[in-house]
Amino acid sequence: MHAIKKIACVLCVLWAGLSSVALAQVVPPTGSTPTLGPSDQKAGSVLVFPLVVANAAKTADTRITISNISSKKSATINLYFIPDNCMELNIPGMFLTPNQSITFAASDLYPVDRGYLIVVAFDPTTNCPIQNNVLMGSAYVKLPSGYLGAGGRVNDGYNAAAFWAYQNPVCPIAGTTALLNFDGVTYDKVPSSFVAQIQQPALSPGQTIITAGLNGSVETGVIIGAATTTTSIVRDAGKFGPRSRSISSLLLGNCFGRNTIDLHPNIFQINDALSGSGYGTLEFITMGGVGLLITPSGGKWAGIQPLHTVGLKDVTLEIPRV
Amino acid sequence: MKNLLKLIIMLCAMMASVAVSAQPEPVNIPLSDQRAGAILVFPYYSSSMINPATHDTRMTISNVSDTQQIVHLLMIDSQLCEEQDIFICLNKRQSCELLASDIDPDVKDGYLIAVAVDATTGCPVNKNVLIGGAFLKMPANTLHSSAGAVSGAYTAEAFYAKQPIAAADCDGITAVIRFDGTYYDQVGKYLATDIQAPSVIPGQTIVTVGLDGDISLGDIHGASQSATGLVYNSIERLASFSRFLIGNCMAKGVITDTSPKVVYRLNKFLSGGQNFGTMKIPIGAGVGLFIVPENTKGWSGIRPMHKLTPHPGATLVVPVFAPTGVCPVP
Repeated sequence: MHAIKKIACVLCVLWAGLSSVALAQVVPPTGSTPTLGPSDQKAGSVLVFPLVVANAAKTADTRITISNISSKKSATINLYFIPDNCMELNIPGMFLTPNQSITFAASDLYPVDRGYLIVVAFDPTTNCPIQNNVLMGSAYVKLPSGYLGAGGRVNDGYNAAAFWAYQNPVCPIAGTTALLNFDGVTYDKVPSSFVAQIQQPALSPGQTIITAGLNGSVETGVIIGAATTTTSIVRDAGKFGPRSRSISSLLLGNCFGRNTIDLHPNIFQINDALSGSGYGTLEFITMGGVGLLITPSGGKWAGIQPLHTVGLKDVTLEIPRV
Repeated sequence: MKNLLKLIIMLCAMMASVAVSAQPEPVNIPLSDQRAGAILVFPYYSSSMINPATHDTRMTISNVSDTQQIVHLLMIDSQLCEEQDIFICLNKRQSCELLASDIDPDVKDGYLIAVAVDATTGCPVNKNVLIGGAFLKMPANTLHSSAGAVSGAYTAEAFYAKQPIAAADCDGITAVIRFDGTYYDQVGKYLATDIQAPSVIPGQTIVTVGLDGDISLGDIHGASQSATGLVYNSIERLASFSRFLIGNCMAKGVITDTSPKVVYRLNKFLSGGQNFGTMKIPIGAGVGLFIVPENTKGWSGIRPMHKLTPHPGATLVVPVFAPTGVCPVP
């Protein structure tokens, strides 16, 4: 009996140690000059729509709007659609005059199921990405019941994450690709530490975390940043005392991560961790990307929210010059 | 007659150029709903005691740090701009769920400001550890007589505090929060959103909340439209409008054929191409949401308003109390 107690204690200490290792990395920024990350409320030179879905029957679809919000400058944009197999589909050279917007349904343009969309302001003369912080974007998503593997339908909107360009990216005259340096010097840095406010899956089925990776090469299809890199922490709201669990492999994938929490192998532990209050937070780390939390109808509450960011990272994304 | 026509054309060109030249270019606004901050603003909540199952708002505030934090919650009713407040104690990594039907029942339109405060004095502190999210649901015909049901989510606006507030700005009775970019992030001034023709999507609503003035006196402003607003259709034709967003602490504008009132009326103006356009609205000083009720097209939800430019220096006076006994002694 004594030996069992000892083992239990050792396991507890190990557990706590693992948790603190992970937690040490998910910390809010401090100081007087916070590094700016992307935002879904500002204009930028690069837009990322973390979730674009469509099917042939159009029961799942996304309505995307891209606007040139400047009243003075025109904008040339390239659109890179990255499906979840990471092999991008490119629509080159759209031109937006001042104050012009375009809107389209994903089902009309992309004959694929799901992925994400990157919009980059380009110089039409040099074919290089440029600093042109005039783009803003929004999307509405509709998904039928059961699309996420659990939960009801989804109908909500989100704004695209906008990355501000501080200068023109370095772009050699020759070459077929260009680098987007998300380093806080050329473009805003990329989120890498996230917190999602979730409900207990038993009470709100189908909650799904989506991440779109922005680290690697669109040209070669080797893009990372969507998968979690370390143990994630699910934490009860704490109404009845602190209670948390660490879970591994929260988000798998390379360019596109998607996890319907109900389908995670550790769903029992997640439900158990949140059983005290019925809600709490999920903290996780990736190699750089943006994301959404989708809560389908079926529980008491439904909608789409951007993931909260508590840490940023320098990453580079290579894109083809079309 | 020919001269008269020429004069009219010249006047039109002048008016258009004045409208265009008055428009600001977008700037890199730090204010965001995706990061942690020392002040959170939930721009809209609504509740019904009779039917909370279909009409309510669920707001969640989390402390993402490893230290305890006291939060002063200020709830503002849009009708009289009255405030009511309460403190909550968030231990490390703790979250707190607030149902509007519970904390402020039967309020049609309200907004919530959450301020990280000092445990002893109650003065605002520069602890950028708060994040927030909300779910909103409303039955059909509640947001507006022609609107469908509302169901969606948003995340709270988070204002980053760059330094502690000046000692002179907190006298133990009130505190002055300076949204000037030196102490706290600046608030929005020129907002924008894309809209669809109201004949296609009825009941689209813009809600703005003011963050300038004195909460302790109920004298809060900044939500109203402060100058001419503009709407562009899909072929970049411009129409201007006024008096669309009217209010003090909160303004709510429902988009209909006649509101905002533009030449040709809005449905006809947006009818070219794909029945959509972009709206730009200057307000006093605040933040806002764009709410699209459920509709036959399936494109509905809640999104934050884009911010093109910030207000240079709005100030908000908030009441201060010592939060005695709010947090259990560690």
